[in-house]
Amino acid sequence: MAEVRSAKPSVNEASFTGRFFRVTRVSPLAVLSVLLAISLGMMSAATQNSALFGDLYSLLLVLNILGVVLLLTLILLSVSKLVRQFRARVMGSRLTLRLFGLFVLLSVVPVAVVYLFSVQAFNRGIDNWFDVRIEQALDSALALGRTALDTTKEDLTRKARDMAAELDNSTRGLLPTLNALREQHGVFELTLFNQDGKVVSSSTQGAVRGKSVIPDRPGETVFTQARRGEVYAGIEPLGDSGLQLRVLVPVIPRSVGAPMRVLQVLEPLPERYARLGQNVQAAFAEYEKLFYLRGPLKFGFTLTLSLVALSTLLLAVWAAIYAARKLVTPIRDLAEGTRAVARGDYSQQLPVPVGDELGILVQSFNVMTRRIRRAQGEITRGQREAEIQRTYLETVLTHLSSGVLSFDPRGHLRTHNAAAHQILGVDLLSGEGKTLARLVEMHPGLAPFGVALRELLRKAQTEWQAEITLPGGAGRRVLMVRGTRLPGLHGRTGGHVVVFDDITALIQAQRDAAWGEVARRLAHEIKNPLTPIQLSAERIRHKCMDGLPERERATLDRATHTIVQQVEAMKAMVNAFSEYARPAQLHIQSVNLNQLVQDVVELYKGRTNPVRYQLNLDAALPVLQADPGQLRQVLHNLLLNATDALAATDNPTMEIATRTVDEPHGRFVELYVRDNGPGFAPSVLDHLFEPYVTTKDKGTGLGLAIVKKVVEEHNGTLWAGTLKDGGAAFTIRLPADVARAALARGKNA
Amino acid sequence: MHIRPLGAVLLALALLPAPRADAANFSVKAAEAYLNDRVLHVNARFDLPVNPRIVEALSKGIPIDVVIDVNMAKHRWWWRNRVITDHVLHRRIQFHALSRQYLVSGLRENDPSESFGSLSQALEHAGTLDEFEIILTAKKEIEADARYLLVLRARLDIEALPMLMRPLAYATPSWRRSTGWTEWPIEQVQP
Repeated sequence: MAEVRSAKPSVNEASFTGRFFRVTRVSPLAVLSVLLAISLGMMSAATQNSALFGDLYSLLLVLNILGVVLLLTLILLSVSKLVRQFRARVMGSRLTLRLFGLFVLLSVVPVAVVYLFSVQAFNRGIDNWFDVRIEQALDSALALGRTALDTTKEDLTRKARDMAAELDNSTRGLLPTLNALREQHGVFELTLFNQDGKVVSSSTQGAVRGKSVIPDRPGETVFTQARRGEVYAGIEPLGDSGLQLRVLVPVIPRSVGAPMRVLQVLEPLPERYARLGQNVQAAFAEYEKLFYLRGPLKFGFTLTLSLVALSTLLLAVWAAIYAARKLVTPIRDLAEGTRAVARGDYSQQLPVPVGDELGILVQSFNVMTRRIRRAQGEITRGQREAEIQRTYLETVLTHLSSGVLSFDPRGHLRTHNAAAHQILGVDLLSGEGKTLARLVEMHPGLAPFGVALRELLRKAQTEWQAEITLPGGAGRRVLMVRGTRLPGLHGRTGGHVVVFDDITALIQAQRDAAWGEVARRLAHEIKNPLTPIQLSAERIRHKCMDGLPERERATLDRATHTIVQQVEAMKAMVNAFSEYARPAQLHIQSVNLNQLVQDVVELYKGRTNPVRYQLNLDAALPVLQADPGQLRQVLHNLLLNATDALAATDNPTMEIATRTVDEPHGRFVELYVRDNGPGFAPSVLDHLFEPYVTTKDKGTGLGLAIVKKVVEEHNGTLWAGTLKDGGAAFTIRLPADVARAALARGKNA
Repeated sequence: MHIRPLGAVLLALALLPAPRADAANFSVKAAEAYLNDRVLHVNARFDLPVNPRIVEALSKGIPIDVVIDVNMAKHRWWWRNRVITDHVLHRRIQFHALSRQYLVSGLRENDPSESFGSLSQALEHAGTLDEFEIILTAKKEIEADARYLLVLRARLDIEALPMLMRPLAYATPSWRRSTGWTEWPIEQVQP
């Protein structure tokens, strides 16, 4: 619980921090923009002579320049980051830079054009304010005012000189003289200074009316000038709107050695004059000031305008960077996501930007990757299942005793199993993907099978069954072949699967079993009446012999003898049959086949036999594990058979050979018996090893059947054929391997 | 060598030729002060030379303000001097076109302006402190054995210029006129 409680605030904290960063990522720009806009507005107001911001002008200027510099720095940092990303080939940086360039171009060009035209228009406008004629008029007005004032001034100077002369000549007291002079000349104030600048006496208009007025003192420079004996006459501004004339004249004493004094005359200009004069002065001063300030005015306005334009530009540039980044982010995400998908990483889920087509695109991408991922999972699962299925099928096919071949619709071999390879005795692996015709070319031994199968496939029945007989070195073989057409896509034929079994042994076994049964029944049915027949014949002879005359006796004796003899022969024959039909009783031991051959042949040589025996025995023949008695029987039967066949042949010859044969599936000992007799008729050849097949007048017809039976009981094979130059040939192949022998032994046991 | 853009700009600015002052700057010709019964008496003469730019502005009716800072400070050898009192005088020189007089205001209290026939006279008067008195309030402690200094400065007040001229004035050295802070001993007159 404690953990849960402690985890909660951190989640809130994280979300708060995230929100804060999201907000502050935009806000520096916004805050700076607003501040800059306000500052620029205030500066603009100041430029337009606003009293409110006029005092802050310098500060505002500095602030704005700082703002612009800050903005510029931030933008430079952003641009350098962009360039670095571009150089590092960061995904999306190229597009960002391109968009940024486009935005900048779109914003810079209009602003620059407006700025240049504004500056030009503004400068021309300011120049147009100032008219030469107005300037001349003001100059003239000023000159006129000055002339008028100068006239008044000269007038007052003359009066002052007169007064100074009169003052010097006066015999009255100073003050009355001054008062009289002032009233006489109608001036405002008269003041007499001594050489040190101290007031000797003064008369003012107001003082007469009973007011005490401190006399107006001249400036030090002015007084010094008067003290030097020069006349000073000047017009002085009086307060805000008045003007007064000040004249200082030296009062030079007539008596030598008397101190020089200075008389100051003050006369304010009449109010109307003064006002007019001040108006002219004010207008002139204002115009001059304006004219003088037109340079700074242009500069100030240009500066403000430049700052505004620059700020606008920089803000636009920043906005361009921001917009380009904002636009490119989902595109970059998409590009990276697509690249990941191309690499096979389907786990990509991109952050979805809100509310525009890009958002829909990103959402679709996310849905797509999710679906692909799901489909991918299903495919993998399906593949795994198919693999399991295939392995299962392969295992089944491999362990199937039937040969299985499958062909595609164009007749190319697609699959085969081990049994097919074993039954057909050819390497089918190299034949995969090849047609039947090509397979036959590669393995000529396969020709009968290939031709027959091609014919069967050509008929293209859905299901078919056929027997194919293969002649071969190892004897005739019969294959039971079943074919099925495979289902194809879109209703087309999907090839064939062919399953076949070597049923030679089966057929043979069936035949053998049938013959065994026949022999057994025959022996049973025939043997039973034979003994009564023999006994009856002997009784007849015994009873009737003595009572018959000599001639009849001899006849009876001959007849009964014949019956008994024929019955004996029949008995022997029946016994042979039952022997054939009886299950084998093998007595396995090590047998030297060469020795056995030599022993048997020796027996035949001993007789008065015209046949020449030619032995080609392999000295390195391995020792066989077999029943020597049975093998001896086989040799006897073969030699007897050949000897009988050679009865009508001139220069009869028989060849008996042994050799070792190494086959892929084992080692074999081969016995080969050949004669130069008439050979076999083709009709006989098919049933050569069946009982009762004989071309001879005598014999049981079981000789070769027994040979075959013994060979098969020893797990061997045998086949017979007619040679090209006539004569018959028998080949018996017995397994030489100990394992085979042991197997055979176990089976027999 | 790789030079960053900002560095290159700074380097270029540093290598620009420094602007040359076109006339001598304001200076203090002479100053003396004495403290008598908590009244500081100051006499000072400032040399306020002007260059053609300022003369032209004056002739075009632009008033020029000279600000005189009169400070009294207690000398401290171990730290910055402590300002006891500071006083600011504003003197404005203006051309009156009609009368062709230069008016100087702020010379005396209650006197709006004084007119002079020439600019040099006007400047001379503007730069003169004649028995200027500063009465120290009771709060300010004066130590008899401490060393006190008169700290003076006269400068052209750019902020008093018409607003439009200020950026240019700040940017051009012709307008940056100042004596800088100067220190003068204060004599204490024992009562």
